Amino acid sequence: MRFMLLRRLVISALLAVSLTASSCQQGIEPAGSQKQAEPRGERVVGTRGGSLTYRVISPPKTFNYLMASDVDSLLVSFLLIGGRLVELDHDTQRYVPGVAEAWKLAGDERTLELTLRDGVRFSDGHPLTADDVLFTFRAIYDERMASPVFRDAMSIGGRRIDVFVVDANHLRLVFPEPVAVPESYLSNVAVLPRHALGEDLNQGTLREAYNMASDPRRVVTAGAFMVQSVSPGNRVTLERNPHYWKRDQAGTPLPYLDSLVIDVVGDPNSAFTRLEQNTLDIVDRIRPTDYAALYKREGAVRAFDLGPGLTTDHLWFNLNEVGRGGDPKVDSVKRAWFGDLRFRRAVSHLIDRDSIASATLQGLATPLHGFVSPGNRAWAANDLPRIDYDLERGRTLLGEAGFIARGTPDAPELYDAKGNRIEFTLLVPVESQARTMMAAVIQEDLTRVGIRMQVAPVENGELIRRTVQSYDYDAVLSGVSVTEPDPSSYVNFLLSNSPLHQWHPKQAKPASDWEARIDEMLTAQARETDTERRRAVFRDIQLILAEQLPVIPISARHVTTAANVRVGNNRPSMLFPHSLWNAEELFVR
Amino acid sequence: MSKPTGRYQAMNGSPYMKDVRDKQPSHQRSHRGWSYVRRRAKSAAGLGIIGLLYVVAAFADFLAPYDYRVQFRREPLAPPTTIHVRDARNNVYRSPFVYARRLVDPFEHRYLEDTRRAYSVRLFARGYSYKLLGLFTSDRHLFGVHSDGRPDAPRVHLLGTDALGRDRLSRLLIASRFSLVTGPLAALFASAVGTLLGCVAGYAGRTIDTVMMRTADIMMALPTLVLMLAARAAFPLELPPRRAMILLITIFVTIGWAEVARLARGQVMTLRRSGFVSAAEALGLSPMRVLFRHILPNAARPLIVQVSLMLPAFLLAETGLSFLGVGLQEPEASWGNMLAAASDITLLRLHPFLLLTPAFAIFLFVLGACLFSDGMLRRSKT
Amino acid sequence: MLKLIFSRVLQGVFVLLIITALCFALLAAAGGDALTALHDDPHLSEEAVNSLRHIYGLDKPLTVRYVRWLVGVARGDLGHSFFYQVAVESIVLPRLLNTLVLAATAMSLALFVASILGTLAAVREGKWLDRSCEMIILFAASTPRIVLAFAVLAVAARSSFFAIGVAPTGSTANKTPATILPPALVLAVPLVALFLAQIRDGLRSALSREYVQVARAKGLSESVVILRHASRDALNPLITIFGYSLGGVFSGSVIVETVFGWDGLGQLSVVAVRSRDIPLLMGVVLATATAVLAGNLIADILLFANNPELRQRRRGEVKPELAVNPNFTQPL
Repeated sequence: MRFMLLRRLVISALLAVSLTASSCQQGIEPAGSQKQAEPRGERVVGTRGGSLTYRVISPPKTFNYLMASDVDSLLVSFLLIGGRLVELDHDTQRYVPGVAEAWKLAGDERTLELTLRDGVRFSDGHPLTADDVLFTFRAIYDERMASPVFRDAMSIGGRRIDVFVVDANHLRLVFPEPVAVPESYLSNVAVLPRHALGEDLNQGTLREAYNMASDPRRVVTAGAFMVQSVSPGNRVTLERNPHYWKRDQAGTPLPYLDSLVIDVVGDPNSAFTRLEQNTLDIVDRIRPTDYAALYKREGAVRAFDLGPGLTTDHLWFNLNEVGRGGDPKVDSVKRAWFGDLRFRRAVSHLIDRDSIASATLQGLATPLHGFVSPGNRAWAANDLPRIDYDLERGRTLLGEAGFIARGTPDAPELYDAKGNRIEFTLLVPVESQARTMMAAVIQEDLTRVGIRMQVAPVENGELIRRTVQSYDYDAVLSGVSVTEPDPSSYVNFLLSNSPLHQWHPKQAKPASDWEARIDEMLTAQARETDTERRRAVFRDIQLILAEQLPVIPISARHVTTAANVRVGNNRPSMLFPHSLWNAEELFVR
Repeated sequence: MSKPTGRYQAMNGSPYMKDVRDKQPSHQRSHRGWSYVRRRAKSAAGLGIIGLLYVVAAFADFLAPYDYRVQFRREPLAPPTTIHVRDARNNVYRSPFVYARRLVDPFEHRYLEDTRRAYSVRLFARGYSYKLLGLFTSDRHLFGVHSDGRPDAPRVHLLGTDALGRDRLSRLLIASRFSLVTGPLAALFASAVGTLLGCVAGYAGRTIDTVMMRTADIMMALPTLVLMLAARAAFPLELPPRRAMILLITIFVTIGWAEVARLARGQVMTLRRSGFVSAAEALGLSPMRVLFRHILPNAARPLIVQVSLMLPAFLLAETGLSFLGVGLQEPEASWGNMLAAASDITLLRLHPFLLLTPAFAIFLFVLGACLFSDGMLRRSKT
Repeated sequence: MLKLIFSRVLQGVFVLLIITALCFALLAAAGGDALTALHDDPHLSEEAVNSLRHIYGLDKPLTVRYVRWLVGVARGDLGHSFFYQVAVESIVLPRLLNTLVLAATAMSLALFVASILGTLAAVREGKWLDRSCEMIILFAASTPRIVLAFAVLAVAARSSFFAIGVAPTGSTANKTPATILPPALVLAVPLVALFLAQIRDGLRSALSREYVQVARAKGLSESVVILRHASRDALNPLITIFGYSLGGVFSGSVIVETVFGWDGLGQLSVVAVRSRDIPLLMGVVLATATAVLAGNLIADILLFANNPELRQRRRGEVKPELAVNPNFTQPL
């Protein structure tokens, strides 16, 4: 199992963000609309001072990143105040040195020699050494800590990375098996101060350390910012970490900002008007309607359409074997339909993706034809067959599969060979307005051939419970959401024994040949160090998925952000954390 | 037993009403005849508005030009269709007509008309088929575009379309069914339960009375909407509309009976001391008979007023829950979930009047109920 | 006086006990707690969730949890919010303040408008002003807050003056007239109907009383008659209504705050219900109920102060008859 952070973020994205964010993430744009690929401005040398205000939807819940399980907590505790060993440069989409200055994977592809940057200090001035890194690994793997995201993310096949201190600046990491991209693990580590938290780890109270009620001065970190003050549920004010290691081209210590204010604004209307009235500087994931109101405007606020994000929307049928989850939760009649590839293909052809993307989502979405979002330019296979909206093809496929159309041409009714009416319920997360709207479109599309589909908006927790635990459902409209483009982020959606294998999770052994093949290829790509060969393997995986259609792709919504023009170096990225990935370089114009 | 205190009696009025037992209706001494007529006119107007809304709800299928669920994908968030009587060259046509239109700016929802071909708008046009009043199958609608069998014929959207391209007028009309049934039905049930309990409390005496009235006190002090939200959250959201309706009604009745119970109890207690009840009791009639044959008929009018006051209250509660996303779910339509679309401030800026049409419908209903109960109450005084 | 306050407070505490117990039971019956979502998380073992349950005491029986909660409340500890991951009181108190600010603005706004119009209407009975008051009352009473909220939102959205939402405490944009006026206006309109009807009718019946006629006969000017004599009589029901309307305002604030993004108790209650954060919801219920009961108590005390003669009478008859029920007509 690799890189669980990403897939754990999926869950948090499902659980936390979707409650509010997804309602803001739905996109709407015209077909052939002005592709506003707003060229990301050049990095410029800024001036120190000033303060910017950023909007989050729900309040950060901890400053202890090991306890974070939702995006807003992760943003603050990990990305803004955490000093990461390795960082991701969103310009080049490559890993760049952070607290770790250099690293080298030995020939066995398991042993890694790590060199820490010289003279890095924590926010209290205490020097950061290899002991702190070792301490951080201990905290990550600590049983009592039970870190909801990072313990799994840092385990490989259930086993830990062994860490040995060589000297104050050097460490040796031994992975339990060969790894292709060790950086994806290193980027999961933000160094924790042993001098501040050592006691807590020994006592087993690390879970409670660095909480929202902690004295801000005692939250010692190594990131660009540190905590200045907290107004619970309302606002977190971060201030410059005077000991941060990074400098700009001119040698000025970063970050430029004196302080970065994180305001909790749940209501999208409030966020929008406050943006207009200059009491908020940056708002990520604005609603399509907000984008529509801002994109042309010449005023103080600019909106950016960053193109499709890594989050996708797709539909899957319950492909669990009959009898799973106790009493017949999985309906044998329906399971027979869903298991028929021709049925899934037919449904796929019956969905009008283009009109969903261009009309329903106002064009702030791209029709999706595969498992990976086209936003993932480096890894998405671009030669997958297009799935055309084709009513006749759908009907033919259904006919071949033995389904019989009755009723009038105006009100067709579809039956299977045994005379059962084809009807099923589609679960859709109630928190996501965009997906609810898509479901309404799909519902109407399917009635054209006589498939009766009910739409049931349910809360996210309930949705997860049904898909992962009770298997009591017919079909789900959801998607995947990853935070980094690397194929390793997708592994846990694709491995047949994974709980996130949406259509048939936690398989004891692969239920079908193609799932077995994907499992093998996933292992192969994880060990493959040659990028081109790895890309080829990952493309083959996507091809199998496109043929077998365990999930029916629908759309990849665009990431839209907005910011005041006074924000210098505002170079938003379509990857999380969109406008704040270069927080230390932001300045006030 | 002491006379019910003021607040209990007071529970039966809307803000612009005076108490039933107002001893000095000073302003009524003048213009007695005129104000009597006015009051009658008031309650008649109220009844008229409500009646009209119910007639509309009953004939919603006929009045609605299109199926409320059908999406016209190429026309999301379209403004109302312009109905022309003369074309660009000033030719006057026999009947009003519309042009097909094309989306040119999806962000600002601007559409361009294609003036090459006109399509006439006719009364009693053919459309989707439905069952009028649940009895007769028909496909005639009050108005529609004469399509000549062309599938690409434009549609006439008097109130524009919503984000999925559904005809807003049709949705508004069909939504009246859910909204106008749930709230009022709940009001009726709540009144029935409340009256029954109130009568029992008023008639049965001390212990039962105390327990019941304290319970009612507490019910009334509860934060109603929070309770409704909590109760609704306890049930799955995927309820089909009919069951959602039943659930909402149950919640409303559980919360709403207290108000009526208080009023009924007060009435019963007052009437119990009157001569004719004492006489009936002296004759040895059973308490049930006394209660239902002698007391209740005399308490009817204030109770009716109470019910008419609860109509809007529960309609609004239903609207509020649907607005907060825990009432009726899409693609079904209710005024509450239609109103939720107006909560996007940028959309509201663009189309304030269109998005506020459900709000206007709600206002009409509440106005009708207020007029009716006001008139009723004042008439009972004269 | 003290005795009255004491017994009222005692009654209030009793009602609070029952209300909170009821809510507690209802929420328990609703099933699910903040940890249910964790249960669904495939990465947390069953034992891990259960140990968390144990830590938060969620494995105890309902009564034990309620008593624990009560003991906590008595100590000023409302528990730990799962959603915000901080003490409930640190969330609820600032929000309560926000809602109170909103309620106070709305109520004074309504009272101000209503007393001017009401007095004029009472004095000029049957004149056009009186009749237009009738219309104002009718329309104000029959415009639901949810409808009005959207109408006002539509206007506010088009003007550059008004802002939507309240900035977090400590910000410069906090609670300026621009942010407070739209929601306050919406909350105030039904209250105008309430107060206006009461003031007009109360004043009118007071003006026809004997002592007012006597005062007039003494040759006192009309304004003195109204302000010194009649108003005193008309004040009683108004005070009661004023106190009791607080409950309606709090209920109404749920929708209004949601529409306008006002960071108050109403919005908080929606968040609490959606996230199944029971301690938070209990905190909201407690704060709301306490505020409403306190409003009633203050009304009673004011009433008492305004009517020396009431002190001789029995407690149960303190309240004057009201022409209206402040809580019922506008549940939202």
